[in-house]
Amino acid sequence: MGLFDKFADIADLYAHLTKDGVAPVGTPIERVLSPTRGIVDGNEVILAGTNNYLGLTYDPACIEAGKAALDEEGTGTTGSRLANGSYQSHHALEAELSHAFGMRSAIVFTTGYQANLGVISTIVGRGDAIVMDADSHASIYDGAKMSGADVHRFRHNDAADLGKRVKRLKSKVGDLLIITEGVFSMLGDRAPIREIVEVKRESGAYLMIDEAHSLGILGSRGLGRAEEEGCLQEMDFVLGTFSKSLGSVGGYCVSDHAGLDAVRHSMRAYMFTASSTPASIATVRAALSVMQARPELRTRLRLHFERVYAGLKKLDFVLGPEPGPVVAARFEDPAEALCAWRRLLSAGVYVNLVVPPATPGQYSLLRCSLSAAHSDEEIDRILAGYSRIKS
Amino acid sequence: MLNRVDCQEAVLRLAQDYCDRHNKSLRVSESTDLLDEVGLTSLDVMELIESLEDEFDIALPINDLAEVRSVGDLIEVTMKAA
Ligand SMILES: Cc1ncc(COP(=O)(O)O)c(C=O)c1O
Repeated sequence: MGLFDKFADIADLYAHLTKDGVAPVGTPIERVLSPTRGIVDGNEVILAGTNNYLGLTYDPACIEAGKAALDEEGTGTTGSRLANGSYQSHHALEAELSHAFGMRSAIVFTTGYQANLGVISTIVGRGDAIVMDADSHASIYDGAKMSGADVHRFRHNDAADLGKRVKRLKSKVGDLLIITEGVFSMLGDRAPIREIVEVKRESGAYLMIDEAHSLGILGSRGLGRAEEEGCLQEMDFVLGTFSKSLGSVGGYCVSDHAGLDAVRHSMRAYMFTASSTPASIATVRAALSVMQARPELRTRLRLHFERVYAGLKKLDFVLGPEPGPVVAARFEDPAEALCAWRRLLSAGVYVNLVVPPATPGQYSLLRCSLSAAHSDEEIDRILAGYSRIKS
Repeated sequence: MLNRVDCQEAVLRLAQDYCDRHNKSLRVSESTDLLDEVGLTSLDVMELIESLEDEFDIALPINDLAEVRSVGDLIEVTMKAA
């Protein structure tokens, strides 16, 4: 068998998806015009699948900070955090995160993927167990697999199922790490974090939450789902990314365990990769300030996603269980989902088409993510686009 | 403590149930291939595992499942976790 033969099926699938027009997966964005507008397939479209929740990619303060960092500190660090890649600004961002979350330790990573990979694969190991939500992101799965710990899944957002599994495990293992996301990336639904905290308390497990899709969106200070539910201090580890609401690139882990800091020296995904560019760090720091200073951005985002959720519900789309920054419409048939995606694009609206195995079940999704930068008129047009699918 | 006979009986029964429910005229044995012959998808395997876990009040780590192909393999990983 040739090296590439095993990719034949996936190659066929993607060829099929692309045969009637622009690629729905890895869609070329020919030009980006603003946080909410771009050119796709020669036409100007509304971008409604970019995770640009607060719309900060073109925020003047963020751009200015990035430009100044480029001028002052250059294009790249050319080294790992443990070698020559820890600038004053990397440390300053860690201090700012630590302060924002009211936790003793913070570590900044080059991407959110690496934050999950590094932390999870390192803090637990052989003899320990991980119990994670079944719908967790690939980076959580990969970190878990690399850790060497026994990996167990609990039914998506089902704290009773988690409790049952933890009880079965407790007497048998070393340390136990429970992992969930704050808001789930595919359906936009929120973890029942208070109930999960109960399980943690009863079992003495450690609890980690990935707030990739909730930082800047939930909680009175925008710190995420745990803050929204008043249980931030119960989190042993809060992870997240700078690549969504903060409009940049990078990831973080914060913890009130002072011991986290020493873990730096053991995480391969942190040690053996170059640190974030100075410009990335500068834009993140500026975006973090904007996020804290302008809570009205999350209010606006919430109004948008509640409107889109209600609108799509009215159009009889099958949606996730509750409104969230991601509103996903579900299709049993991938061909129907693809056809809907093309109609939406021709109506001038770009969303994400997600097909199995990237979706939690066997179904396909049209995944729309909203932004505080969308205008009310753009939301009208997004809804009008969806109504064309149904007509 | 789970003994092998009970374990074997339960795994065979659950796999047979699945075939019957999906109108597959197949007599399941230890050598039956769950993926190729029974045609379980990875989600079906998850469900089958859950039924086993509930039946014996055990937790099967997913680390071991990558190697499960046959009904016999599933019996082995279940015995290991019990
Ligand atoms: C839940 C979750 N965790 C982690 C990541 C990885 O983040 P990053 O884009 O910074 O690598 C993502 C984004 O894809 C995500 O959705």
